[in-house]
Amino acid sequence: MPTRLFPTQEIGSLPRDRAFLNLIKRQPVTLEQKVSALSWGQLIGIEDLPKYKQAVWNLSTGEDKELAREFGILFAIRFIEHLGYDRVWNGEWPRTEMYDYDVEHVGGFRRLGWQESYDGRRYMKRALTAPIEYRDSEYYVEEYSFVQDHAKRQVKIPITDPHTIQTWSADHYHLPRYLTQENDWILARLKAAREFTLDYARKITVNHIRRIAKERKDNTPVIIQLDGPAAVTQKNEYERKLLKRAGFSLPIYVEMLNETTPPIDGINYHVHSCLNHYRLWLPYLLEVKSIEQFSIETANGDSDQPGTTEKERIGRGFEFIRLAKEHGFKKRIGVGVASTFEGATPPKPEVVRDRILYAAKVLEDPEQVVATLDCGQRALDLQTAHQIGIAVNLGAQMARDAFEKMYGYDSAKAVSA
Amino acid sequence: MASFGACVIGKYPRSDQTWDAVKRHQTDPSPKTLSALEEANRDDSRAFIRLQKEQQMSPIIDGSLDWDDLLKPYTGSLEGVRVGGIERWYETNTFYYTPIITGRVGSREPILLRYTRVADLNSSQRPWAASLVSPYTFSRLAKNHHYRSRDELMFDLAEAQAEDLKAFKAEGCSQVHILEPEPAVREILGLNLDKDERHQWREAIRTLLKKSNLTSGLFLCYGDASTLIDDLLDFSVDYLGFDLARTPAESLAQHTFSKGLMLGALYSDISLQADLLEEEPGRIASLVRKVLPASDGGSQKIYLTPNHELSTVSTRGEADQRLKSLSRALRILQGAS
Repeated sequence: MPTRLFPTQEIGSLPRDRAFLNLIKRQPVTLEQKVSALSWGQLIGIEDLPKYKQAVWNLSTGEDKELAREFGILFAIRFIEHLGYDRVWNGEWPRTEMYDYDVEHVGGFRRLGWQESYDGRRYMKRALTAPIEYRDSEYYVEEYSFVQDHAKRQVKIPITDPHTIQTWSADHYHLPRYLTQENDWILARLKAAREFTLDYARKITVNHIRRIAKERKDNTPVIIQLDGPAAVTQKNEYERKLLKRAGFSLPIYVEMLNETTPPIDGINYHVHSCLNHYRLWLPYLLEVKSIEQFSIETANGDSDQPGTTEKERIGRGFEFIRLAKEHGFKKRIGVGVASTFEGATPPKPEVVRDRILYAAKVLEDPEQVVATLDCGQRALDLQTAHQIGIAVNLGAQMARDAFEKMYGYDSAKAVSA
Repeated sequence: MASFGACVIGKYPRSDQTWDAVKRHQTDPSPKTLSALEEANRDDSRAFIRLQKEQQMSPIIDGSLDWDDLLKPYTGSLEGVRVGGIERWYETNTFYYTPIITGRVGSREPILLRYTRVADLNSSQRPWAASLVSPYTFSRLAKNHHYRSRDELMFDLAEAQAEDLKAFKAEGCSQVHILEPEPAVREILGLNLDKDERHQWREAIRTLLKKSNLTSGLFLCYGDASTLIDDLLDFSVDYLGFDLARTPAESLAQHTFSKGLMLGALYSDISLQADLLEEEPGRIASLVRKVLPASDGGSQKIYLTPNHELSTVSTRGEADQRLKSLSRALRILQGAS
């Protein structure tokens, strides 16, 4: 699907505004929440607002509940489009969180207990205790069908990658066997992690992707974004000596990417990873053939000053971009132009512009640069997400204009997505 | 011949009951739910102290259960520091708030004492330890908008933390565990510390300890510290601690240590179910024996510990089980020594 220079995209999740969350869950909505939801709907110009207004206002009958739910999810889609992003999803509003949503529908896991995340946040850690089993779940397909029917922009579906699922789970199924075979528990963990990851990829994630591909209408391409926050966390998975001892030719993460991304008509693959030291990725990412775009976190840790030199662009994501250039990395890079951590404030559009221009300068190819957010926006409020969207899309347009002015580049020229 | 002890380091996981109280307070931030949360934290910490006593841990710790992260008491309380965005805590799926340095760092009064359950620790009638993140690691994880160099920041931090240790000593604390992930992690990432940086690091640890004279352990985790060992021998600490999941026991065995050792032989990054938990004490003891040549046949003490704090990789149920493994490993080694 053709798009413009420096396309923009968010990563996946939107703030779970209480009003919309209750609409989606078909739970009672307070008067204040109804007013808030409907005024947001008016602001972003949601179609058929009168129809939905009645449903939201009279949230009581079964039919009204379905309409109110539809309004909630439609709102997320229109919110993203209204801000000018080129790719769209449902804000992950139907999802509890990125680990649990995927694993809870898969056979072979049991709950272990609450695991700390940060501050007062936690997630339900699960242990794999039996063979991984695909349960023919419809949840991704249901999400996709609705978005496909309503989106006006290219659809991008975030799915948590199997390597992250494995890293965040306990393994009481594969690991015990390896622990009894290997004296070295580090080696045992590595071997078990590979088996778990690739098994999950083959039995679960690829199945989800094939199901989504079948649902496509009118041959419209769809992007599958594999979310991998754990991609580079286990540093010994990238140690050459250990890989050799284990008999692996590639790190588990890289092998997983190749395994999870079979060529399927109309499916384009992206990767997103944040809060990591990306330097370990190279040169291994050069071995990954099927991923078109790698989106990374660059705004977090960067200076908030405008400028297109190494002095201002100090985030470790920019270090990765410089290394990527040195290694001859030719894939598209999603450059995080706005932080989205809890408490983040919208960036100045000039800073967004310069983050884009700096990346284009380093890579010496503007078509390699996509303006993304650092991560999902669940920890923000809707107002902040709105302001970030405005700044990002304004900054991206400023970058297009600047590029045209500086280099005579025709920014209206369509580039392939 | 070496003697053995066992202890837990850093932050310990909250119980599910405490998590429920956290959740209730988040949903309804009222004085009533706050009071219930404080009560849950207190009870949880006391239960953890009891468990350590039962399992012969010494020194004991309070588990820092209500800290948001290991840096947060300082990030939220030091002058010249404000709370920034979140960053991943090394190899885990947990995060810390980045300290943003906006002015000269300091404190008019001790900070950590306010965040430590001193009364409960003292009433346990056991030696107890305080835990803190070292000035080196803190200064490297911070976002510096004020100092000309990170080393200047590190020394101001060390001065402020030294006041904390002095206050701890006055309150009956007997040991300090200094958590030091950053140098070993930098070695893995190829961002190796040069000679001058190693010297400054050592001096910062000296500054940290100079006012209290507490028995001290410097614990290097989340990375392979093999290449740092020669320098570490000159540090003014009583114990050197290593994450044996990342620093090979064989590397340690090649050195002769004149200091005590804290051996992170409990591989907490993996989760074990019942049958393997049975085998774990033997595994821990066997790993520790691999390092024994390093103890110089002297009279130093060797502590068995988890390979890093447990809150970042374990649920409470898992952590309690593993603590018992550590205790059983201790009994195996005591029988053998």
